[in-house]
Amino acid sequence: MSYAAADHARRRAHHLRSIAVRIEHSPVMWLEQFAGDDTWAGGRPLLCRSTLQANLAQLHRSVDGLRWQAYLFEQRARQLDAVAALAHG
Amino acid sequence: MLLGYHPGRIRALLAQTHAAIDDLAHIDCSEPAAAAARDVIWLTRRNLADLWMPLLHQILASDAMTAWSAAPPPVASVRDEWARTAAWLTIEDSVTRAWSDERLIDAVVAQHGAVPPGDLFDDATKEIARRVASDPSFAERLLAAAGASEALALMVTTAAFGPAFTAEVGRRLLSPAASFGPLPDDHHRLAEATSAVLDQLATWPHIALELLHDPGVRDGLVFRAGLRTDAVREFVAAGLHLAVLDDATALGRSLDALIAFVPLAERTAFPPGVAQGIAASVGTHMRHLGPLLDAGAGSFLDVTGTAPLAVDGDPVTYADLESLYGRVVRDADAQVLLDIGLTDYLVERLRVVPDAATATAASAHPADLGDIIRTRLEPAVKALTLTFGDAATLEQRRIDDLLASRRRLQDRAVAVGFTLAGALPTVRPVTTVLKLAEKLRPDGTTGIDRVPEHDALVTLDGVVAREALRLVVADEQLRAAAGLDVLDDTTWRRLVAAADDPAIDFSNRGALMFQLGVDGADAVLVETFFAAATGTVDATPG
Repeated sequence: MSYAAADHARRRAHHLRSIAVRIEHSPVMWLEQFAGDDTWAGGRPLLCRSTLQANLAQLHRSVDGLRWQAYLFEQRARQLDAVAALAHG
Repeated sequence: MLLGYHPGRIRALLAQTHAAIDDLAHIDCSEPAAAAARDVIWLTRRNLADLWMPLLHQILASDAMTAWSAAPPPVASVRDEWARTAAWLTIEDSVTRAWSDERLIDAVVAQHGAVPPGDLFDDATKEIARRVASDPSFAERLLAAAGASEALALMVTTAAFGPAFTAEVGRRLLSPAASFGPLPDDHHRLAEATSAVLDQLATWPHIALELLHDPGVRDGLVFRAGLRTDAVREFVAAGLHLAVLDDATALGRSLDALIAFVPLAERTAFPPGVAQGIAASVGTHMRHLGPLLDAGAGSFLDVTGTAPLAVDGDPVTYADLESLYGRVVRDADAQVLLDIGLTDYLVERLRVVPDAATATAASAHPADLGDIIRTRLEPAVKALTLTFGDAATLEQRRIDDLLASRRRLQDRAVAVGFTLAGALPTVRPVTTVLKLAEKLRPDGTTGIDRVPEHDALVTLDGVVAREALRLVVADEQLRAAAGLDVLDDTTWRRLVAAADDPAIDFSNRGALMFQLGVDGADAVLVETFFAAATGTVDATPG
């Protein structure tokens, strides 16, 4: 059972890391380079860019959070492995 | 709101935004530990869908974009496409763009008396300005419906409108037909809005000058209560003075506008703004009127070749000027402006003095310098002193008559308080006459019952002193003749610097030595020089 729990934690960690990579490779991450002053200018374009920049910062923080959460799951998996090994030993 | 964009790049941005929204929708965030990331992804998608896409679609639907795409050029590459569409296009991102003319006009009418500042008001202002500029019939309908409204007044003060339309709004606001609400506050608000329009019109002097030729505008400036003094002053001065500075050929029109105030001067006192505006322009007008004045004879000199000026069809007279400037000198601040304007006018006449001084340099003496300067100025100073003294006397008489009729105080004797203390010996008898009259003034008399006392030409002494100093600074021979060649080097450098330093007040003789930083034996020499040059041998040393 303990090994199964460790595997489950590792799958969750893997899923979280894949989400992080998925976000990092989303087209939204380079949308800003298409939306510069040479594309449009004015009050509303400025608002659009500002909002996007805020969202990108939030997305980057989310990616860091996802990887940290994945690390914690992997730590948990190693602990579960160690406990299972002791139990079987 | 004005929006600029590049058509080709907007298309690329739209495609990328579509792709980003779709991609974010397909990120699997079912993992409970990714709840925070799911929220951020949802927020980002929503912003792109609700903020970016509507704007991009609006741009794509605009006329400019349609016009461009109606005849698409062959595209060899993205770079080529961008090169061909490099023209930066603009569209109005306007809420009120879709409104009908009637709806916009009704909105302005409905706002009368309650103008909420805000985005919609700004948006409507720009849209109305755009239609006014492109559709004369819209402008006419708007003026007919709301030409004298507070809302339209505030709109034209944003400078989004052209001078002609703004002038028309100003004309209607000042006309007697301008509508007031029933409350006193309505008067106040409309006066404030009118003042703001005058502020705007003052930035176009030639428009202000044209408006001053309108009797309704002049009546409004004089009779409309509550207008801001500074707004009226700047507007009147812009039309009468700045318009001539911009274009010297406008002097005739400016004089006509000035003289057009004479009939009003006969009827009523001027509000401070009008008096100060006319006073601020006195230097400009005296360049023409000054040489014509024969004040002693109470008439104009018979000078041919000058443009005829008329009041209600009759040639302008000395009495007309007396009446007009009488209303002006009544205001204390206007007197200060008169002082500045007349001094400028006199200083201008001094430009020819150095030639005369050079011709007599060999035998020059400080007193001679003063004589040369005074000889040049004397006729002008005499004429101006008498003219403005007469004007003050006339105004005082009007005040007295008014008081007599109001209070039935037959024994009240209020003397002329406005004196023109000419610095020249030749005009001192006049000053003396005026000052004798001054003694008749009862103690404690204040308020409207006398023309405020102000020495309108007090700075003339200073003008003469500064000009004399400039002459000796410019000529070694004159310096030696003035006895200033023995001054300490430091003292001389200070005098040289002071000659062109506007911060030094040469009319304040008591403090002049302190201002110059000169003391001891040098101070005695310098004071003696100034006293001799200005003819004020009784000047009190500082």
